[in-house]
Amino acid sequence: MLEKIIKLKEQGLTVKQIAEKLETTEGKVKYAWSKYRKSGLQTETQKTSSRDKKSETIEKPFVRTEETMSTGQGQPMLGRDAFGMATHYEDDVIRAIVQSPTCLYVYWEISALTRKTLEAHYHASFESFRKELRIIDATLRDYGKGEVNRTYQFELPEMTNTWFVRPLTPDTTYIIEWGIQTIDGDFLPVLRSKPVDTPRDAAVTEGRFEGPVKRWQYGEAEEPEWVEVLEPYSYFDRIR
Amino acid sequence: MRKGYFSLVLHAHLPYVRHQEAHRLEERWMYEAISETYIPLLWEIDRLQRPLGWTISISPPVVEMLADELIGERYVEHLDDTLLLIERELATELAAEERDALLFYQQRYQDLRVTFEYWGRNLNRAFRHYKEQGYLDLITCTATHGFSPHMFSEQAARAEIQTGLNCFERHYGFRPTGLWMPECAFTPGLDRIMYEEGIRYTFVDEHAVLFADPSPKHGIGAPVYSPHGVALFPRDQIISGRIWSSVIGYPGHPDYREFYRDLAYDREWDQIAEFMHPEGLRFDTGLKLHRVTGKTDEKEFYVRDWAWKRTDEHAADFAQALAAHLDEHRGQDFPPFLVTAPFDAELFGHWWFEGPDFLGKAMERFEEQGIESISPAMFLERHFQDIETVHVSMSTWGRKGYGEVWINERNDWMIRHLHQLEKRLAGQMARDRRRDPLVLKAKRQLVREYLLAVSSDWPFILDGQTTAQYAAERFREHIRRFEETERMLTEGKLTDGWLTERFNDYPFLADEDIEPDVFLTSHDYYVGAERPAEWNEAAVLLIGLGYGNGERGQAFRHFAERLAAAGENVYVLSEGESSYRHENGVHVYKTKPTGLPLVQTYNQLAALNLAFLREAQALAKGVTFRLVHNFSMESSSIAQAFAEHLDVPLVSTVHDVESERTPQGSGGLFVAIKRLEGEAIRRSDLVFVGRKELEEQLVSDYHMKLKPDVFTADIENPYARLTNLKKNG
Repeated sequence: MLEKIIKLKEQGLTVKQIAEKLETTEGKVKYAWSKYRKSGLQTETQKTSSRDKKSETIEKPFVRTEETMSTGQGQPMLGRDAFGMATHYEDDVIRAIVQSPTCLYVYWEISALTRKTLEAHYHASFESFRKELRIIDATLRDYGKGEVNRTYQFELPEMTNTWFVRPLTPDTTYIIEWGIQTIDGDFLPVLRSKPVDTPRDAAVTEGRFEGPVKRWQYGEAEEPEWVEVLEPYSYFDRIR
Repeated sequence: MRKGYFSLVLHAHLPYVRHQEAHRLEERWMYEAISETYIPLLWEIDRLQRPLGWTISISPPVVEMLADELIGERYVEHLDDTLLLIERELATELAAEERDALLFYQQRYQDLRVTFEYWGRNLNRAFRHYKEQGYLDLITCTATHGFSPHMFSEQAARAEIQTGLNCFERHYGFRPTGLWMPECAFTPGLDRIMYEEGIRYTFVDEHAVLFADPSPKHGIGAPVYSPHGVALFPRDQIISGRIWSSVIGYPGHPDYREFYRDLAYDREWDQIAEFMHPEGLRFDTGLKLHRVTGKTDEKEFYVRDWAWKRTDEHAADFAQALAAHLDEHRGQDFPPFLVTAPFDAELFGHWWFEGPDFLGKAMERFEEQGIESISPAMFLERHFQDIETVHVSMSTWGRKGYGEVWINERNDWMIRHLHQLEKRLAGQMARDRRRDPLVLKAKRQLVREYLLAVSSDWPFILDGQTTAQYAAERFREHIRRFEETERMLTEGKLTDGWLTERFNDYPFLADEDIEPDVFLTSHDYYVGAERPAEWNEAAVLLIGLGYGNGERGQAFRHFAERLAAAGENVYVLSEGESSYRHENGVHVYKTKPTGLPLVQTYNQLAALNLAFLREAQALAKGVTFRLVHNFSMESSSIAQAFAEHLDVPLVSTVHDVESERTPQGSGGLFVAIKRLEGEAIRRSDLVFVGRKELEEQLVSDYHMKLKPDVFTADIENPYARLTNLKKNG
């Protein structure tokens, strides 16, 4: 397939047109094309042609059926480390994980698209932004509406994608935001973690869960009134 | 009978270390566990021949390895090799005590062989037999011992639980109602999944219950119910500490076998070379001929009789201490006091060589003391009505009681890869609804690779830094294999033979154990299978503020609806409370920033653009856009970046420019907006102006080179020129 893509691309067809011609998806064409371009070996064209022919005879060609959907536009080509592991996933994700009652582990990744959007908006390079983590205590608050108990933030060194946030308070609901500190003093959140509860590290005298547990137990609450980190992940979450 | 109960729970687990090629050192972990723990425990059960109230959890990797013919064959070879080594040793000149110790091992290895062959080289049969006799209770663990609280999604935790139960059921013929959660780890919500999968009880460490909210009135003297109805049995550290603690516990007694002294390290290489690894590596033979002796490096030879007698004494001591402990809590009613003692099974036999003997003898002493040994299942049957429901926070039985062992500077690099795999599994099942045998087999292989990667053993080993290289490499290997399988599936290059080969490398879990759709949400099913497919193709994305509001918003809406009426697939992204409507053929998505408000206008715009971006990214997972059309200066950054990212044309509709909106404008905000606006216009492949006069303004302010069209909501075929432009290069 690569040979055909190269030929059509050389004829000046767009990715979409090539995909239509080859009855495949744009994602696949793009993937193959960028991979080819990355390899940077124009001379490979001839070699791949014979290899492709051989493989086509044994392998079943991909047929897009009604049961499969496109793998999405702009499928990324991932960088690899020495062990063959992806160095990034072109994902926008931040996750806070409990290490202990006083420490959360946070990792994040910012996609090229998000970087591009920020760069377009601020007309500045991504490297020039001051990156920060904001730690939000949202215990019994609706952060979606901007309610918080307290927050603090601190600057992150460049090239950082993880942090052990400590010390924190046990039995507290935290949300972590990765964002940039703008020159005019705002913190612009770019990624927001799901809320996570730090565990208790002492026996409870005046707890906060007796009521919620009772309401749940007796069917008076639709959903539990505490944080549950293992939520279903829906791939098409926002597509309705 | 004494009032109160004792419940012993043993958890047998090893990571799946079966390799097709011979001489993998890690496979010896399994041999050691069989020789030192599993068979000796079976011997005690067989000797006592009565209901013991024990609960044994056998993890799916152990179940699968016990059933594995190749491992069985190699294990017998290993026994024969060891017997040969003993024979050779006995033929040399030895001290009397050393000879006695070797003779003891000789007899023992012969017995191991007899027992192993008796059960047809599959010890699952033995455990199943004793369970069916009513001597013990059997439960299992999640598929690969994944650390649930750190998983990304509900589906991953469910896949681990469900697949583990399926595997166990295939070998044992029943589905247990109890489940050992790896590392005794609990996190709120995990209990919901467990309950839905038919699990009614599990085990936690004592602080999980002591710090529960509200504080349970019996402390660790009784299980509690989690909010979703799973009984959590807390470990009693005082009682179990007598057994596991190497400092204050029984195993440290001078008469007991020394774990860290093996014959392999007491011999010259030439003497033992033929029993060692062909590549010249020295490893434990299992013949540990010394006893603990004391806190000294000078170890005396092991005297089996002394050790044996010592277990009598310790069993009696334990029964007595337990009786006193139960008596102390004799006042507890509804339910009566319960001591739960969960252990890694390998502690008995492997670490504490005499452990299985001790356990058997302790059971006999319990009878004398009138102590009732009960399984958690039986306890629940009797006392299910007397258990409190409380909120239990995240906890484990690991170092310091929480997640430190499984997430620290030595192993934290692993977690993001695992989370990606979860997302990609969900994506795969959502996008690809084919269930023909080949695709189904591939999906199962994907799940299998994920499960093998998610084992808590890998980060655990990296934390401990012994055999770290193996753990890291196994982890990476399964991630790579996942990606290869995924790629082959996506590219349509899979063959049955290739998949079978993959399976043969790690023949863990039968295909029937794995249901890939456990990763599918009902919503994803709807989008992937039922939502009209034409909604996903060649869509036009219109972005702008105030859709449907005011004069311009009305025009925006009118334009979108006419476009839809003309047969275009139209999506609108506008600001507002998060919502979706499909009105007059247009898919209208609204979103806005949430959380703490920003002070500066330009930053508020950034936040809005990011909110739009997240929505657009999410839509692009299923919908293919052919162009992006921006309607507001405010959404310029996302429109620009997104069109560029998708490599599709950008269209702009301009009603006014910043120099008109703020005629006397100057300063940072004015400059920034002008720059943003200008950039978006210059990058557009097609521009519409609200009125003819704007054209000059755009040329003078922004050096626009394109010839704009005048925007009207009724414009026919608005993107025709775009196609022509493209066609003309």
